[in-house]
Amino acid sequence: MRIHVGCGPVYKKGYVNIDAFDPSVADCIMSAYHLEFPDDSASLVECMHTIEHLGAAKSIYALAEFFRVLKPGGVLLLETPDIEAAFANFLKKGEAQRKLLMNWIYGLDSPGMGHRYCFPRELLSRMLKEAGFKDILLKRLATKTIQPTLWVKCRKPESHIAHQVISRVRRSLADNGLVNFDDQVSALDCETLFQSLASLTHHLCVKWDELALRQLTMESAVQNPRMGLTFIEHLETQISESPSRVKRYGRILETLGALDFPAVLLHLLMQVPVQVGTQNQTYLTIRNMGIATVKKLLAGIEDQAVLKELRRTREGLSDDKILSHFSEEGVKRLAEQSFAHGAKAFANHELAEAVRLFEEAFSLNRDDLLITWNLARLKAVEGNEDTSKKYYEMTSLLAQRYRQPLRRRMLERLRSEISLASNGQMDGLATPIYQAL
Amino acid sequence: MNWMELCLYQLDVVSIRGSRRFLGPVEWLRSFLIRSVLDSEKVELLGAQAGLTPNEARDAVSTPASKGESLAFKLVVVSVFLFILISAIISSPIGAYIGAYINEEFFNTTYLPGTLYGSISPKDFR
Repeated sequence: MRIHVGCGPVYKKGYVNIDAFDPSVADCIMSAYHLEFPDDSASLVECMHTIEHLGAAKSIYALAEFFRVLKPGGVLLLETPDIEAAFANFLKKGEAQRKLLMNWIYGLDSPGMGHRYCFPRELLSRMLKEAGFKDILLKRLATKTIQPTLWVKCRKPESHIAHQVISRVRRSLADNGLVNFDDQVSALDCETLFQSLASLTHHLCVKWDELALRQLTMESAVQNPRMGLTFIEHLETQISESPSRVKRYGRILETLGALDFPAVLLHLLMQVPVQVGTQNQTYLTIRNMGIATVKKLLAGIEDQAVLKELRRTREGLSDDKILSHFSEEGVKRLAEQSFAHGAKAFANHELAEAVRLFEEAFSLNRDDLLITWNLARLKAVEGNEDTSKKYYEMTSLLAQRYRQPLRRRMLERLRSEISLASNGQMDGLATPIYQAL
Repeated sequence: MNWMELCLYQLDVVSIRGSRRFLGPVEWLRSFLIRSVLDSEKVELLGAQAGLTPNEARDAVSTPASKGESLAFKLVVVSVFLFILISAIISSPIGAYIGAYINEEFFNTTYLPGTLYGSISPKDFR
């Protein structure tokens, strides 16, 4: 079987032509990152000018799908705009050609035709290698024209077990909604953990190593137990030694996933007394605590008592703070949401609500100077001079982390604001601050 | 801000502004300066919610530096201190005096007949 991915209006005889948007000539409507074909079933996958329509995260999953469905020795042919040549030509060409080059870079503003992400050569090459492809041949075509193109030919190797497992894991994650493709930052945050677990998977596919499996379990348990469980489920088929041990690790991850362990850790993090500038340390402290819990479960020490406590903690959580992926970046993003709502409340002069939301944001991110700055303003407006002064000091402390001349300008602005606040001139302080400069 | 906090902030500044190659040493130094963000009571409280006993919770949040790393750090600090101390003594007037004395006492190369070569000293052949 040969597959033509993202065929659009171009029908290729002898191929299964697929497209996610254009039903005009396609044999099947399906996404490039969700191919409804079995493993090792295609001899050729042709993907011409399609991955640039997918975005950064989806394109990684699409390459994994191409790898999964290709037979060992099967070939992937791929074309995508050569972004480096397109930008270089844009700088050199006249207005008419610039317009055409803009279309080549950004695509068309109609459903499925916009370009979400274009790939520099080195990134594309690395993505193909990470997906497991070998013999990567990358050529630059028509570099001086208005349609410069990267052309790639690569092959799925005969020996491919680890990459096949990883591709299947990706497919399962996408099927079960464990990767949020609509949120690129969140998807790429999950990708960091995925890469770490994938490297342990490579190791485990070569030889049985319980330490590696243990590490995979612990690392995923504190961040995203459901992702870890997916890895273990797919590894089970490859690991013949100690199947009962593998199942046990899987069961622990399943239990922690059902208990929303990442949300429990987030809840603990928010309870750590807030000290300015200690975000990384606070995150690591809670992460270490989570790892200690997982170690205890793995050792089988009082595991029922541990689970009982975790269940009790989970029951006390509100539904708006359920987090599926506990990471430093994920926690900061929650802080940004609280900040945004706090700023809205501040702008509408709902001061008590604004203080509550900014304090919540501060308990999630102790390194953000805008949070303490807004709290300082709010407290000044409320007439709470001492607390305001304390928050201004914290803001000054965080400003020290910036480079000059930004730092100097921030500190000057802070000083003038503090003197306004101490003189009771609140006119300029009764609005939220969104930018330090 | 106490001296430890000041050092931590400076290390943060280095890690943010500096080259990535210094991140490792900076993190290593940081691990000896950071104090727990939690007091023991809070550690126990949070640990209990995570299913840990007070001891397990304390162990989990204790300093990330291992015993070996801690020893290495202390050795580095002591060596640097001794180096600075010895350098200061040698370069001071007292050091110059001590140096001159040592030089005079132990490394005097002035030839004294009959003492340097024992019985086959050149004077025996005069």
